[in-house]
Amino acid sequence: MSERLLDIESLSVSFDTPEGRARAVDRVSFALDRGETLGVVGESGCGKSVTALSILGLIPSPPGGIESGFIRFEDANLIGCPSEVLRRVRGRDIAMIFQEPMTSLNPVLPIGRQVAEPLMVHLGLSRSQALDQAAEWLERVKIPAARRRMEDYPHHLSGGMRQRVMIAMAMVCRPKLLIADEPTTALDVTIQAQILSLMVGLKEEMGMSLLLITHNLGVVAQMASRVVVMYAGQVVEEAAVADLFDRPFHPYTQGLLQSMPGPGGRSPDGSQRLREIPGIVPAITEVIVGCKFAGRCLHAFDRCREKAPEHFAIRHGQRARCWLIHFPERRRADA
Amino acid sequence: MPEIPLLEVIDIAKHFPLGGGVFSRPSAWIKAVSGVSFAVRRGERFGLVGESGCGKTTVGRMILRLMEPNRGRIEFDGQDILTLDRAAMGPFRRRMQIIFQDPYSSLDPRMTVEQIVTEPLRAGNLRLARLERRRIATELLDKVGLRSADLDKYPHEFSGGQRQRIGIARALCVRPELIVADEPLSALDVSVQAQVINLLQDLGEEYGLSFVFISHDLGVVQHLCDRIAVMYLGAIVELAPVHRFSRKPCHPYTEALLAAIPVPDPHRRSGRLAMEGDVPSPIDPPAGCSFHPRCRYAFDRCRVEAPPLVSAAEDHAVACWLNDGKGLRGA
Repeated sequence: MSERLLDIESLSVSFDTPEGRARAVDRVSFALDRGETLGVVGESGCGKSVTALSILGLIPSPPGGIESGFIRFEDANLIGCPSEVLRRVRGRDIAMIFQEPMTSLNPVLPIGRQVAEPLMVHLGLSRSQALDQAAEWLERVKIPAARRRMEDYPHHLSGGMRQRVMIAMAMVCRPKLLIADEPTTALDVTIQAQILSLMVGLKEEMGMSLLLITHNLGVVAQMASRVVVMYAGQVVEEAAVADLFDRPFHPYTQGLLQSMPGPGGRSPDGSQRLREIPGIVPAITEVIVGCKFAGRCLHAFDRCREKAPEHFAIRHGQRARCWLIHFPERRRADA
Repeated sequence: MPEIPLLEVIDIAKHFPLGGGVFSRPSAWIKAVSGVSFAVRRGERFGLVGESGCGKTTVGRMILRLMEPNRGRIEFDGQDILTLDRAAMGPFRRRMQIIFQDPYSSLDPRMTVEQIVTEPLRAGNLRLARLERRRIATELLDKVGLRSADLDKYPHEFSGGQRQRIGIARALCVRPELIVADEPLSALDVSVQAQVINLLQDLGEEYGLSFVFISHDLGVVQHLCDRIAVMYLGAIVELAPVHRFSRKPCHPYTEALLAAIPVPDPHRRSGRLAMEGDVPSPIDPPAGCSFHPRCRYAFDRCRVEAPPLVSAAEDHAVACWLNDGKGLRGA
């Protein structure tokens, strides 16, 4: 059995908008090994969620469509495969949890039934067997008095409890890959800590892989072994988590790390002011010739505006879409 | 003689009725805020932190009299504002302004930027010539880092961060002394958050503003504020200068809140167990200390008697029996 579980190669996804065709995901490549946790970080609109939805074949078409690329999951290409195959993979081999548990749970179905459903659909369990396992899972995700709550509806539960139900639903079929899209963003910080520790525990116990999509660098530092940073539809940097935080290469990654208030409330360099990334993310329909970050980059020079950089290897396991690797003298010391 | 604080909140409470109609009594009361007191000095940035439902937003709204408390007193510059009628309240309204969380819903989509940022002038019945209004609007946009070319645009033409700048310009328009900022950063991306934090800091210094900064994000509040009050289930559980917070949190809830923040450092992964349980319902809060069901230090007394907010050290107050006014809990 190969180590590689998921391989995304040069994936491009675009949407038709009133302002023209917008490329939400632009030649994105990354891979995920069995048992690994890969963090995908980026700000709103960077294409991280669209990438995740492409894996599951959930891009609404029209207006969206996958332009090119491969998504290989255990040696099968998920792009263009028949929808029955995709339906089998989805929910059984690959499961997903979303940011807002209220909108992704069915409001008119008791939670026990919802957790049991994938077991009946994918594993062909009888209703009573499925409900029995569902109750076990609700206990495993630490819903208090789980067996009594099988008949509860989502609105009876708090946000944290709903996210636990989502996790139980995702896990019942023992997926090989769990995609978690901002799973704790809507939750309070103490509840976030509970959900993250629950996910770590289940992941280790079941040996599955986790694709964790988040804008929160703290969550990534705590959870991921490798990180992909996305900006304006592209992967701009990829590295092992320690390298990314210790030796970020891409100016955008550096900017993100510096713009967070440090522990104890001071910025990382000890000053009162935070380092900010000037400007705003370009509109998705904007045509940019060179590097997409050049307009906000403190180090940008002529070449950055003329030609888009490819992925360059920085060191073992680390790559970045940035010309500075070939022109290190252009990196400004003061910025 | 001690200086009169700019804002003093004394034992305010707000209970919302649950159920009940025109003829029937409410079936229960949500105790959103139950007895909160604090003072904000001139030029001070005061942080109010807590998780959803702790009552922090309700406190902010009561300060601005967007909501009337059921009991308690609010003094602005020594004047009890809760007794003022609409007309007498007018001048005070100009001295305090609010910045909202959601930069999308808090700007009227049919108004131009110029109209939005100068609206407080109109609301305050300050009639100005058109040119004068435009001059003020231009100056305000310049202060918050937008261009005068933006004056005639509409809110939908701006990104979230830019909209928040418009909201800030509007708050500054009448030269207030106090700004209540209710989660002004939580709808923004990290890199934009830093821009807005720096802007608030600069403007605060330039105009000598006082802030009541309401947020769930202890990291941001620690960066921005001088003193912090932590709220839990409608009451302040700890109040201290920022430098004492990270070094010596005294209340077990503050400790848990700090420990729950995911540290952006892969070399410092917390092995600590997350605090168990959910925040209890404010309709039927637990007896005794409202935090005791989740507290790992709780003992008998905590379950029957609510601890008062008492001074644990200079300028540092804690509502916890472990401190009991006798000093800090031993490490």
